[in-house]
Amino acid sequence: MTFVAIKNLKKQYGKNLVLDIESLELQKGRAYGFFGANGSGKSTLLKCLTSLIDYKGEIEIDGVNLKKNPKPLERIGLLIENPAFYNDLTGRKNIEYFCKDTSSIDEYAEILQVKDILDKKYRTYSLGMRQKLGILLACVKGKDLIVLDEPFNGLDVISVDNALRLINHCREIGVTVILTSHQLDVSQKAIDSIYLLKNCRIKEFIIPEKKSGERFLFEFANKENADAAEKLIGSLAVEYERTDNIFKINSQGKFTFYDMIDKLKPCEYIKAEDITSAVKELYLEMEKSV
Amino acid sequence: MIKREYKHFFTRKYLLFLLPVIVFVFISGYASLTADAEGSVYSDFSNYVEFYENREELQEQYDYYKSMYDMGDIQNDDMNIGVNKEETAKRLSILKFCLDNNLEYDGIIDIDHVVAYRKYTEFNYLYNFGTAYVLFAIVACILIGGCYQSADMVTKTSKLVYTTGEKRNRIIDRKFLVSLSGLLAVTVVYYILIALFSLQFSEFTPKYLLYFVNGKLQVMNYFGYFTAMLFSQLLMVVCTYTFMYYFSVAVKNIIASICTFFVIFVISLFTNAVINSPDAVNFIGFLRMGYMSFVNVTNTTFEIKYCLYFIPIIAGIAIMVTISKIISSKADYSR
Repeated sequence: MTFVAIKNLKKQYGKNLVLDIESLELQKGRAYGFFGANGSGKSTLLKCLTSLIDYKGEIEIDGVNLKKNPKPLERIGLLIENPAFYNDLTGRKNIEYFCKDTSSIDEYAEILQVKDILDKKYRTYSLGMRQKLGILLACVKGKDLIVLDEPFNGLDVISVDNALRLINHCREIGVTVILTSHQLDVSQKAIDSIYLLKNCRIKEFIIPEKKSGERFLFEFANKENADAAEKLIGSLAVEYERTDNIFKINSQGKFTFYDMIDKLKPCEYIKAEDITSAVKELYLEMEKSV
Repeated sequence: MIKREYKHFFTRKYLLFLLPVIVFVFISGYASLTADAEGSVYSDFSNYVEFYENREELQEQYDYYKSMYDMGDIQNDDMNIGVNKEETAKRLSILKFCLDNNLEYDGIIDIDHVVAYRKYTEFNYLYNFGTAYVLFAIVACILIGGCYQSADMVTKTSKLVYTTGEKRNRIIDRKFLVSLSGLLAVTVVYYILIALFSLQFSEFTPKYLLYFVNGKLQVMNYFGYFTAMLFSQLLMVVCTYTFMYYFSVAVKNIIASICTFFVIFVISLFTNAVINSPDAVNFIGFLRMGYMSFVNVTNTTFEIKYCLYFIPIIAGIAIMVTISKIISSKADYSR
């Protein structure tokens, strides 16, 4: 079912044409990643989708033309560029100010692990906390559509994982998600389709073998630790390749990156990296082909 | 939505702008304690009414001037007595008013004497602190009008404010109505407090305030004076704040508030040029707005041209509101 329909969308800044999208349809309950180089028009597209800027063409949300009736915006959650809230209100009061239905605030705050900061004044928040509050508001407000522009900026690894869990939860309950990010490896865990923006135009790509396997790289300081890790990895029944003290592990969907980090902690690894690069590889291919 | 907006308006940030009101209230309260309420007389109508102790003396005065008025000018070879009919008519109308209402000598006050600081009456008190409030009202209108909407641009909360599912202009208008009603409420509360403070002079206060418009005696009691002053002030706040608020919506910049201050001066100069009276009187008139400005400024004559200064003000406000609505419907609220 088409939830977002864009027709002949054009946006110019002065004489500079930034967006020229003939047609784009997004389905309900799916997650879309919009990627592109800096200045490719990702944020501009999201701003058009949320009516923050004027544009030529038509954008329909659930069959309603946004230019004629902004009512659908009531159920669209957004985090565009940096989060901005009122300093003299608490996080909770800020969300209550901008959002009519805040019934899911505590449930989502629990997933995002921000419940303890929710009743503190916004001015006391760190950069990461502000970002998390921005994601929380977008998810609480976004009953139909969530628009996230670089949502993982300034988040630590645990918070990124929590944010992904929350985004996936929203998608599972039927909310359409649109996100842009330069952190392709992270983003791929929350999206179904990829759109590439280049030269004002947009093109869709289907992610091949989505999440068929997640690959991680672990490096150990010495042979003893590497041997101990090999025993441990062997007992987990996952595929791996060993080169000296470096392991490339394919978890085959059994374990997340953070699960592996926890399990291999006793072996004192010196480097841990998520090298699941389906989106990254696809993105580079797309860049060449478009 | 409205309730939420009121909560937002009455946060610390905007209450700071209202702080001067509290200071004024304290100052006025203190001043009322030190004022000399027991001066000799308040009326100071000495040009028209001579001192009298009872009704008989007042009647004598009236009869004397009535006969003078009836007699008119006497001109023959022996004498040349000129009677200023206009002035005598004024005198008679005051005397007759005093007679009809059984007023003591201190029962009336000339509108020109409400500015006197040395003798306090309810009228003096209200005028003095009402005038002081003009300064506060101008500053509050400029600061709150300039900042209330454009602060969302500076803090970038506009991204969230303008994506709540309502039309932009409706959000802007609601913010305007909330902040304006907040200012009006503060003005009313201030005037009520001042009126309450002034009640301590009620024992010595003249019953009526007198003034002439085109030679015709006009009378106001204290409640009428209070209402006229308050209404004039509210009108001034509405006009100044409306212009200021929508100007800042159009410009989307706090600097607009400073610019607007100059715009007000330009309007005032233009106004003076229109009515061919290049002095500060009409600027004061603009500040006070409404009926009381005419009364205070003109007192003895009222000409329709004095109404002209409303035209550029009303037109300016209407143009500014229209321009701001066009601009805001196209503006980029993401930055």
